[in-house]
Amino acid sequence: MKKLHISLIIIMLSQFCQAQNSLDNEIYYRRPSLYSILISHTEQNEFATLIRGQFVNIPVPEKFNDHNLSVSVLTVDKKNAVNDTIAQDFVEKNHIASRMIAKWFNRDITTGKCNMDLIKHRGLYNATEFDKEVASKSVRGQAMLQDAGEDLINNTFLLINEVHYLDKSKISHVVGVSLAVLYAIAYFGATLAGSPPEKEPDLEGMYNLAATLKGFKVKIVTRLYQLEWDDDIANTFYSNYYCETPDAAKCQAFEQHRSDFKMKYIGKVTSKGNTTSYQGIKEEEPWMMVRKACQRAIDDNISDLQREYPIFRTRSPITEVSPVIKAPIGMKEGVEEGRQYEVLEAKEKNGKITYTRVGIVTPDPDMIWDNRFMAVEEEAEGADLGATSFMIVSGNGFYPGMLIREI
Amino acid sequence: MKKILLSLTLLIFGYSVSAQEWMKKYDEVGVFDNDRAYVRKNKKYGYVDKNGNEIIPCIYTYVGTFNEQGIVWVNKGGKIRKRSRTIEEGLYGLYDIDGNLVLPVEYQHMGEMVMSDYGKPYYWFKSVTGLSPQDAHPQRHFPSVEKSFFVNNKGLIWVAKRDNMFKTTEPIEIDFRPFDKISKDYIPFASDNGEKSNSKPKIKWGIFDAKTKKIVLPCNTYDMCFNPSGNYIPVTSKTYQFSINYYCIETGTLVFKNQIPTLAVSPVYNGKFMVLDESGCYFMNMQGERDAQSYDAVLASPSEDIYIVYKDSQYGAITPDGQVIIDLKYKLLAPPDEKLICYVDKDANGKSRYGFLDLEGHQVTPPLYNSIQSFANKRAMVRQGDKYGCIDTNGREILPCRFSKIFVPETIKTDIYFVQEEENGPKYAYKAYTQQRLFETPFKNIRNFDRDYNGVAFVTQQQPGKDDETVGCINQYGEMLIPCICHSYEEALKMYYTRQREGYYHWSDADTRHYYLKHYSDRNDFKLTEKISNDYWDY
Repeated sequence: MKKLHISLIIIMLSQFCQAQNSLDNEIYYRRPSLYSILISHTEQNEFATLIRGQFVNIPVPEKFNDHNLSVSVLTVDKKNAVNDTIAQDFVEKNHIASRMIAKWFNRDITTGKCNMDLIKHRGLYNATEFDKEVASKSVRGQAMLQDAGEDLINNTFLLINEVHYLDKSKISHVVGVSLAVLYAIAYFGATLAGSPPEKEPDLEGMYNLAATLKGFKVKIVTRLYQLEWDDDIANTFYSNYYCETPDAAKCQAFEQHRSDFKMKYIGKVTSKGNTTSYQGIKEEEPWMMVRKACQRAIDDNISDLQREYPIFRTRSPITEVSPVIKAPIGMKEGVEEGRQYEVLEAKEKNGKITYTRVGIVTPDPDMIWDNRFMAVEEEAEGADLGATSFMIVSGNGFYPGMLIREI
Repeated sequence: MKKILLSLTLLIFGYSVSAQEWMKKYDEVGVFDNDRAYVRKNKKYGYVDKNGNEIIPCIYTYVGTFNEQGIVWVNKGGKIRKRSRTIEEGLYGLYDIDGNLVLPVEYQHMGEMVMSDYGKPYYWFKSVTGLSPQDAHPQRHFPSVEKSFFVNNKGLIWVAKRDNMFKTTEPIEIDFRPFDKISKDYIPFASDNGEKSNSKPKIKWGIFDAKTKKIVLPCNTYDMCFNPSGNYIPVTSKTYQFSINYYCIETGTLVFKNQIPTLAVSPVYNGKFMVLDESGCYFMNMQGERDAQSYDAVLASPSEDIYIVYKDSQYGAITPDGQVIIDLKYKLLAPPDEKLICYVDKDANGKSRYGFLDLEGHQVTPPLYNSIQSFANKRAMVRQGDKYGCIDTNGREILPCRFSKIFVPETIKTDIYFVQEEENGPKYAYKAYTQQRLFETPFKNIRNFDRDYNGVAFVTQQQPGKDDETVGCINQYGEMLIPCICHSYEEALKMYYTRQREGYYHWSDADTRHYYLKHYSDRNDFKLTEKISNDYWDY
């Protein structure tokens, strides 16, 4: 009975403990990792190249780590050529899971040499301590590896985005010629970002194209996969394939057993095909309309996937608590009036990080940040806020560095 | 013991439950800071303590956030400007952290002490024979003064500022946003007194001292007041012709019978202050007695309590209350920079050159240099003849004067310097104090440290037999983070950012392979139904 009361007291007291984190300029927290692929329909030749050129410029959303591989675009040349089975077949045939795992361990494809640098960095481990504990095979070291597996490697996702252009405008010969010019501009602009285009832009062609792009719409089907990683897979990898110096045998063994690693299909969503405003697009850069439409549609799909599949939900840090609670998420992440977010406190114990709910907040409807792509250029309301302000529903003792996640 | 533990548990549990109960009566409860949180109910704001007691009643249209002195402003009856989200109109008052109303909520204006427009002068010393105002260049001169003032009555010392006047800090009316903090120590406040000037309400400023929580200058008399200086506040009632008096906080009266016509005044220091008028600059004490010594011009130091003075073509240095530190004997002196005073004197050949003195007038560097630049990160560029070098704050040469150009990083302290050994020649990286090249391969162009990312410089190399330049980057320790393989600055910038974000701090052969793979556009030409060979995958 005594012990029970003492435990209760400790728990109660800890609720009112206001620990303060010190922050550097950037807040580091654990993010899920993401690899994105575009499937481009070449039968939609008019815009396929344009979409492709702009897709490679779309950055990985800030709430994710960049886990992209070298192949980012695939093509199909028939309408309705993509279904879940075909997509899954690609993932398995090309051993995507093994490649994403290899990236986690920075595996040199030619020598098999691996390291834990990326895991240490994304896991926010103290590098020296991590090395020491893992090398000594201590209980804490084992726990850190397990923690890395559960919270990092297991939290790795693949998005396959199938893009359809929806515009119903007639495409004239003049526009076709303009597209050829624009293709050159967009393509070179995409591959050598910032370099001047090799051809002088056709101004008349661009004017016509701008008129066409004002009606530009896309429909994107996004399929979500999760990297499978558990204790068994981890043991196999560490035992049979992981080496910190070049090892021909382990290198070959990994190549032969790539198919042992799997991606799990989670689900898919389809964008609504809404019209994207042309406002904010410069007349001399009409192709940005393509990027704007694609990026917004992909962001919406990510937001919908997160709403539908809790496993894919991301955490975001609280950056301010006084005078109001703020977090750097906004409309791009689907923040809207009425949504609720749990406030999580991360604690490390014996090498493992756990997240405990300490409260609930909801966005202030007048202070939702519009952080969608080109919201500033559109002069959208709330585009200049920099963060969304939240009101407390329950809980207290919040401090910068805590995380919030939609519930 | 069991009973005590049980009671304590119930007490804590009970406390927890009641804390949640009081919160329910508010529409919003802010986050506690120093045991205080704002609350909102029916669009009115107040503050509570951790027990839910209202220490500031929930009756105000807007409230601020407690500042470092534990003072917060409140506003009653104001309206919010939607676009700027600032408050206009209404009445302001001040509370302290215990909930005492320390300034009644009856003032239409609240402000902060800010530097006036005149506060950014620059210097330029073109040659040792004198100053050349026409060549004044704001890049190569001594640091601008952040506080205090400059005076110049005859144009002998030309300073690149808008006019020859310089005022001390003055109150500026500010528009608050909800939850703004108020200025820390002295808070100006004012009411409209019913009069108008140019159809704007005439206001008379007062000052509230946040440390003592007292009104140190009532707001019914003076058109302008300036930052308090010890027991005194410079005030003026006439704005068409600048003149000053001093208000004594202790006695609540003016020090002088009549206002002192002046162009500028200094803060009070040991009971003395400097006045500039048509006759020159001189010190006066609080009894109105004027020092015998006067000066043609005075320049205050941004960092030290020292004034450079000028009279009859000679420079010296004094304390802010007129004590001589350096006699009036130098051809030129500049305000201290990194605790060094640049001076002009004759070298061994009888030619005028620059050197450095310490704050007591002792020589640190003999007069060797044709020109000297301001210190930045404790380094300053110097020139002998047509060759440049670099010295530290001890006067020691970091780089000897043998380079046609040195690219001194302005915002970072690093031991790596980019130089041009010959006019229009390639650039090399040198390590400080060693006189050695860091890399034998020269660079065609550089973007110095901190220009794009903290501690990183981007460099280009000419490819043999080609017109192309390729780009890489070096950190402030001289390590090559990305070899010169990128095709553009933008590409190199992006790669650096991505690698840093991912924790890749060292370049390896695998990185080179990944780089060339990403530029192989064929990797994105495959169909969804194809199996793609390892040659196109990075992992």
